[in-house]
Amino acid sequence: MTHANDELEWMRRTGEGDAVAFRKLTDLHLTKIVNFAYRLLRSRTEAEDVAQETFLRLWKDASRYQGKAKVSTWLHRIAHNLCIDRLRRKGEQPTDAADEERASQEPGGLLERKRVAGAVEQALAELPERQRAAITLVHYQGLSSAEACEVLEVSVEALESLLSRARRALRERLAFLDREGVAS
Amino acid sequence: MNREMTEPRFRELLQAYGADFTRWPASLREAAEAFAVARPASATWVDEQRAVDRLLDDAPALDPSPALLRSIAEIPLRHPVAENSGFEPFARFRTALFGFALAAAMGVFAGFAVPEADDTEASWDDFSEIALALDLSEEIAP
Repeated sequence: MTHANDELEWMRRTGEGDAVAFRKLTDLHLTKIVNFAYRLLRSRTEAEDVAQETFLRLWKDASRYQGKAKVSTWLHRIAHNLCIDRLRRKGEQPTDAADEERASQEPGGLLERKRVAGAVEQALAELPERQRAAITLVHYQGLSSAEACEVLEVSVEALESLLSRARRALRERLAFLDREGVAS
Repeated sequence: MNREMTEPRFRELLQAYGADFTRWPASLREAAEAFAVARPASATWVDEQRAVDRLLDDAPALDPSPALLRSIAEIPLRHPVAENSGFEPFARFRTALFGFALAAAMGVFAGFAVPEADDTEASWDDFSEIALALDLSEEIAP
């Protein structure tokens, strides 16, 4: 666990071109940003492109960071905007056919777990983008409600509404797993 | 302690943030826990949302690929320090000067390297060096 002051110092040094400080920030946040983008875009390739662009902006713009938001929130906001741009450009949600193919070829032992994971991933993907982003930020990324509001630029009430609708939809779409006893 | 937490509000928050109170807004956690203890009937609602939490936890997570790690590690090398520091006000001037000097050197060199009938091969080598220098200058330029 790092102290917020460490991150501020690393940001300051990154702004001065310190590659070691940049590396520390990368170690701390890269996996989270990749997963955030992956959950929004459903494509590893696209998610990694977004992550690369996010950290390039971190490197270039660190000197402009003023510490008003946490580094994590700042990065999620950049990544979120990049994901939204991509989704809007494409007009549809990209998927990795290769990932789906790999999942279908797993041997028996992992098959059931893969099936559940696939169903959850599919249900998440079918959510409207704003709901998916909200639940990803709060459930998977561990952002506080205030931080998630900052990334999505919404009020707390709006965030709670997005989260409620997302969870209700997921529960309905995944009810078949409950009936099979998977979710209990 | 739970005077501000009503049943409708508790259920609303539960529906939004799920059964793990650590995901709730920090200012409401204590009241939520107190409400759950005081109202045993709330256990059913909490269990319903815990099932949703568990399903969400089943979604797979990714590790960054080696290619991405390499690309990220190369960012400081590909994008020069002077652009980031803000402490080198003459960086752009130096880059321009470097470009001008390179162009002048190329002009002088090209003047000497006008091909003659018997050293065509040597000239091509020289031009290759110039081309390489041009490529490098593009990498270095902002």
